[in-house]
Amino acid sequence: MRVRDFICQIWFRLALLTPILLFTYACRCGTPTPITGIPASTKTIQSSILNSTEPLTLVHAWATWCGPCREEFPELIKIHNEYASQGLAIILVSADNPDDFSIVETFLLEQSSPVSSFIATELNQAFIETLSLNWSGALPSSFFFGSNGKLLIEWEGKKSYAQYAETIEILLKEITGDTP
Amino acid sequence: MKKKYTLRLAISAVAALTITSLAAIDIGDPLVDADVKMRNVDGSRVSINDIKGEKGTLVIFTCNHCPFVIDWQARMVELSNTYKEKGFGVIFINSNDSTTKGDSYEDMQKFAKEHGYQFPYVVDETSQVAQNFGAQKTPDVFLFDAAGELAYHGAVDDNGRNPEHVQETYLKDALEALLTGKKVAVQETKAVGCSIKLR
Repeated sequence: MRVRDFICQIWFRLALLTPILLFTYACRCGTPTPITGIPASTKTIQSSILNSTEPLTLVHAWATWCGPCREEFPELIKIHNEYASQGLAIILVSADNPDDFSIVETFLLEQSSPVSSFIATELNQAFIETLSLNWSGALPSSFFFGSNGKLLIEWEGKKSYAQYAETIEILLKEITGDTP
Repeated sequence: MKKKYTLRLAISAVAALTITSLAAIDIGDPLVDADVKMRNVDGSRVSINDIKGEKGTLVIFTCNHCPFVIDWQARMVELSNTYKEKGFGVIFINSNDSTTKGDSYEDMQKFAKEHGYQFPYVVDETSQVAQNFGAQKTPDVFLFDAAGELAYHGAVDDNGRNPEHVQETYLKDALEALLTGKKVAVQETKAVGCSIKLR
């Protein structure tokens, strides 16, 4: 067991350098992934969407200094707690300064977030269009992707738990309901 | 085929329930709300028509505290002051709900003074101007040509965080094109910004 713990510790340190590995850490090590802010390039964020193993992936763009984002965050946690076991993956993408990743980490811990958050290192047009060609760039914004990485639904602005839940239930029902 | 069809139906149903869109002006469209008088930080009431320039008109939706505004602030003000002297009309509009922390009229007066605005900084008292422009975030740049048609919409440049790493000076290039009678090469760009807190 000690060897396994040691390997997992090393894995986590390496994963911080190559963020995509963080998403496999918990599965392989069988322990909760330490919640943190993870600076990530647009390519890394795109890869995490494409590599999501769940039928529905919610990518949520936010920031700690954004009032509506802070107000909405507890709703997202409730959404995760309700739907993570039903086929929903949540990928958080913060627009905070990656040099101040501890601010993101502190906020996530204060909120008892069950998931870590990427911190986008490139807030340019390529980043915006990786999530959606229609996105104006305003925060907060949410994007629902199917398992093939296809964008299904998106919106800008704060939403309630009920609005998230309604969307997720319709999409999950249609996606998984037609699976042979 | 059936799966695609039913999923499309589901998406349509969700979209109808959750997505709202603002009317937005497109490249080539004329100025909107140009005659709406808005309260300037000097106490006067100013419309876009009042400040239109012979070379063009620069309208920027902005605020006092958004980190992206702060990142671009020095560049926005420098460009605005510089090109105002070259024949462009310039106006900065704050469409945020004034109860938003840091967005009161007094905060705007202080901010404009601190940053050396040589142009009006006005309150969009109903947020209707932002909605009619289709402005959704701060900062959001709209540049109109001498005929009052939208020639450029988008970001100040391609790197808010690191001025030293800017590679594309979108707004400056657009201003320079209009100044010299050329067509703006890059007419639309995007950048991440703070949502406008509509009233």
